[in-house]
Amino acid sequence: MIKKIFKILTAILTAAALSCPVIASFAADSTFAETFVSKITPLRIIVCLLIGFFIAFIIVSTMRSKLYSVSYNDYAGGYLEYDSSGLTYSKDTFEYDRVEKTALPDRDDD
Amino acid sequence: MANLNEYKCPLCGGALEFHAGSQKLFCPFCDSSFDPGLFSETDASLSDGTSGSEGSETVVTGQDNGFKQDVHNTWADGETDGLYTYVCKSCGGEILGDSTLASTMCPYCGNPVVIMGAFKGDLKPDYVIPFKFDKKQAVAALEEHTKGKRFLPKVFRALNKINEIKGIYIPFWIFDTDTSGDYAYQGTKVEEWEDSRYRYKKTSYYKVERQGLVNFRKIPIGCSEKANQAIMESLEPFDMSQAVDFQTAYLAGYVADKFDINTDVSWERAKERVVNSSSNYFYKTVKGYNSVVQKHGTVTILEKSAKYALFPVWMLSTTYNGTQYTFAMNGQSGKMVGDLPMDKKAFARWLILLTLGIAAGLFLISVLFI
Repeated sequence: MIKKIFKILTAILTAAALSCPVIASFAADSTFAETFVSKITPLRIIVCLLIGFFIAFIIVSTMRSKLYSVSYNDYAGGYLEYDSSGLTYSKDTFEYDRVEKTALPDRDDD
Repeated sequence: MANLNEYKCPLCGGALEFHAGSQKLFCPFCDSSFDPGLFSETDASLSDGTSGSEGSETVVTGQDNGFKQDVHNTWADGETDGLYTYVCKSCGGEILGDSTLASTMCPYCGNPVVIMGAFKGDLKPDYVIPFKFDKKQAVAALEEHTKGKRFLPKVFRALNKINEIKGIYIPFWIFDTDTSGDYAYQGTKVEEWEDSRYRYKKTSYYKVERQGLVNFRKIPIGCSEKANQAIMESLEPFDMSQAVDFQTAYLAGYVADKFDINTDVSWERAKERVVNSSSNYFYKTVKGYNSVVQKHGTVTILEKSAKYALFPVWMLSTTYNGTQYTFAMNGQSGKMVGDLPMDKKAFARWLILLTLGIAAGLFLISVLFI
């Protein structure tokens, strides 16, 4: 799973690097710099940091979990004798339906 | 005084030890090997009684009819003080042990000794799984266990000195049980569609009933107070097809304890695992629904029986920063378990760098394309 995550990260950074020609082409446009600067807002930065922290926390938590290998085994599925086990009664009975309807937004008629 | 037994080489008189590699008793003095079966006469003083027992109960009502034959750990006169001394036949040294000690090494001469009284009558194990991995392999397995762990302090690996390594036969109760289950669920199927004016969502509710038999074989539950139960459960599975009839010869060179948790107490843990697995089994039979909610479930224990077995475990301990870390290796499969310390600085470093890297990538993409 760690390898998959690193592949995804690499793909993101590669896409960012590959977009450099795109950035270069944008840079030729005099309005690009103004547009770029105008998009650097505190909200955008905070949202990116929050999402980045969330993803990073999942990754490092997965890496940390490798340090811990002792835990109770609350199941005995590995000792189930499938040959002698099985259903003796199985019944699915319809009880009732419940229908909800939501009005669609009005469409403008021409 | 308890009857001690030491396995001596018939050729040179040296102390024999059970060798995991060859599965034979090995003399380290003259390099001779002997099949454990050659020493079966030594066990003639042990009775043949097995510690099997049967009974039935219903989980819901809580009426426990108990086992047909309870296993009693009866003490001989004078054995109630909790601490016992034995005299080594080879050097005369005193061996100190508690009431559960069954096999050990003489601390003076290193001779392996088996305390025959620990296995008499109802205390005789039904099975033993011999060690398949030796001490060197256990140490190598611990080194392997510490590899590839990015948050393990580098100092831990460098300074990793094993304080103690012991091959121990841990006592387990092995439970067989037949159960029946009766479960009811509510299942829902959801259908959505829309017309020109409304969006519709129809939820159909079903009553789902399932009954059946679920049988379990050879559930191992540790029955030694000294053994950490979480570690023992983490070491599973043990392959019972490789278990052999108990012979004290297999214990030579290893430490062994006898049980001090009786079947009734161990059965509670086994029952908990059985009920969880039964619930899972029936839940998986309910298919074709968007959601399934259990309404009621009953597991009835139809039959249960218990056998007593000794399983091989290598216990290793090391100290780091004043804290003792215990590791255990399944002496049959080689599976190593044990919690490792975490380098908090490395954890924080990785978290910060990953956060900044991912945030930078997301920021760039959002500025260019959004």
